Amino acid sequence: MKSMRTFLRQVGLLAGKDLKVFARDRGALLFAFVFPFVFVVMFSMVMVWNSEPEHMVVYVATEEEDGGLSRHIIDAMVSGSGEGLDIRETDPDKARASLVKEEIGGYLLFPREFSDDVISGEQGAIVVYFDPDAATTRAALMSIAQTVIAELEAYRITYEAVAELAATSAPTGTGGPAGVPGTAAVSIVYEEVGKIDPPRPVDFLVPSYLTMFVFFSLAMTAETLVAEKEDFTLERLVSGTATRSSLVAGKLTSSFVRGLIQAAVFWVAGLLIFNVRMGHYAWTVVLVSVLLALAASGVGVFLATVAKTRRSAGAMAVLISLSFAAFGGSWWPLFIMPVWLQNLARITPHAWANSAFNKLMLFGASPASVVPEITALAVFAVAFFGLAVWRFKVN
Amino acid sequence: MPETDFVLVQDLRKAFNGHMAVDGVSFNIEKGEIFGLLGPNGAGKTTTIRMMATTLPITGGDVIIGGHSVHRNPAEVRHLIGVCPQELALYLELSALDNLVFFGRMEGLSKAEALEAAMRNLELVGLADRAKHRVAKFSGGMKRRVNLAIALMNKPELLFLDEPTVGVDPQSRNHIFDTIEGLRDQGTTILYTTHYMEEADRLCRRIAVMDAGRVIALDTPRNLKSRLGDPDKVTLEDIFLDLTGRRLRDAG
Repeated sequence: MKSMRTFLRQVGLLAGKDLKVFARDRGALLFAFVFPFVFVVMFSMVMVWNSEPEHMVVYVATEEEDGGLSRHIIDAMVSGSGEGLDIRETDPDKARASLVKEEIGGYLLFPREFSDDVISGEQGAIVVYFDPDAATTRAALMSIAQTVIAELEAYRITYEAVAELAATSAPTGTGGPAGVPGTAAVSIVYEEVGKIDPPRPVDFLVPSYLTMFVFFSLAMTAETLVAEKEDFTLERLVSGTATRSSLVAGKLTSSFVRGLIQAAVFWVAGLLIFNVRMGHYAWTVVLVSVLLALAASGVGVFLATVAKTRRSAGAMAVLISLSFAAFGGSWWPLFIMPVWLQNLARITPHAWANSAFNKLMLFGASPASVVPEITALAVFAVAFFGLAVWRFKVN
Repeated sequence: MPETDFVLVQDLRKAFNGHMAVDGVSFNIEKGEIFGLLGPNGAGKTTTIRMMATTLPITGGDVIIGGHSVHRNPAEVRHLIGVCPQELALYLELSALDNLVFFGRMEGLSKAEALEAAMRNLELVGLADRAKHRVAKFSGGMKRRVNLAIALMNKPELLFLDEPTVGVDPQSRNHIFDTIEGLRDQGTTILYTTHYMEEADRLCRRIAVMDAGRVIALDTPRNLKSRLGDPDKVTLEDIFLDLTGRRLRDAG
């Protein structure tokens, strides 16, 4: 108990010291809190002149006969669409012809076997046809399709759990909850594809630069940690009562807290100055920011365990941060990149964070549809924390 | 181990990639003694100090400090020692007071205790009036004094001073000497390394000369000097060069 108290005390002192050093470094403060907004302002001006029209029309079609599940989903989508996003139903052949003639940017197609697949528990599919040049339309279609699938999947899991519960608790001879699927599934989907505001540059730029700069400044933790080795402050601490575990935990804590402060400043400034819309689920946006800060803290300390000198630590942090930012959708939207590159970009925390921010903020997605992104960021955080702790040496 | 001995170094060894940087070093330091460890660059002085201060694992042998083995009980040893490294191990962005309070609190002092100890030690090294100034703005000599003050935060019984006067002006050096002598008078045991022979002559009761990882001579300054003739005429530098040779040593 005493050793745990000592550990926590030392972690707090180390983190507090690091934050104090950070607060007195004007250059670092400028880089963390002012510089990113210069980028946001600059690029939002550029993107305003190049953005697509604010009123977006999305086409959906189904190959199913009347009465299928897709019929209910489309009805709900069409009646739920409103200002900004207009969802219209069309015939599959007509949609394809319009796309070929470049009259529309893309459309969603529910295949003939959609209902059978979903109800029988098979992997159901929604097909997205798009013109590669219509980036925003494609992103909206992908987001809507992912939302529908995520909600159906969530519903299927719930349904199976209820069915299992009913089967185990019901008296012998009674049936399960037959007939539950159809209408309930549609009502959930309807909620998710409700009002989606047309995308604005700042709704992309603020979160994407948050991703880039939070990761960047936390990766630079590597340089400060190697500097402590080179300046012998780390050795001085070790010759006292500080332990290896308190040192690494202190560094991770200070880095994480710095990331949280930076993210908070981003969102507050984004809301107050840029009128950013955080989507229908702001808490999910905050959760993604927290997980990003955790993952980036782990990366920073891990880099320090790999680098030999502060110069190499700094160079590695810059190189990784910039390449991940470009590759992971912080410089341009992930959804305008070719699909294979989008998939490859998933090796970066940036891609997962940006994908979650884009879904939540640009396309009004629900928390359920960003579960993969949240899970991936959590895995990054745990993996890099683990690597950092494992590799951290003080001698 | 005689009762007066506070430190006992026994056949201490350290190998780096098969090379013996410290090769069977043995000596004792009495309670309240200033003990000098001299030697050319690469002799193994700093490696010896790092092993004694528990920051470098020991390859062989042992060090007993205040009855505790560095090898078996490093945590107990750390409560007894203070280290003033050769390098300026300071946070330059913080004030002198913040540096001292931080390291003091890491040693387990409460905030009030750390503040009191910090002001007392800054007074001791003549920097009380600059307590709240950023260390980055200090001269080399002032930084050296802060470096020393930090090592005193836990009131150590054994103080390691690894070249504490490198690159400082005569005024700062004299202030550091006065501080060291004051600490000795209060009963602090001190292990002192330096390349300045006149410092060792003035401060140390006994001196061990190291070369190539071994102790090649150990005695009082006067007895060492008398090996070459009249101790009032021979300097410690003469005996040092006689023992270690005149060839250049460029190793770190």
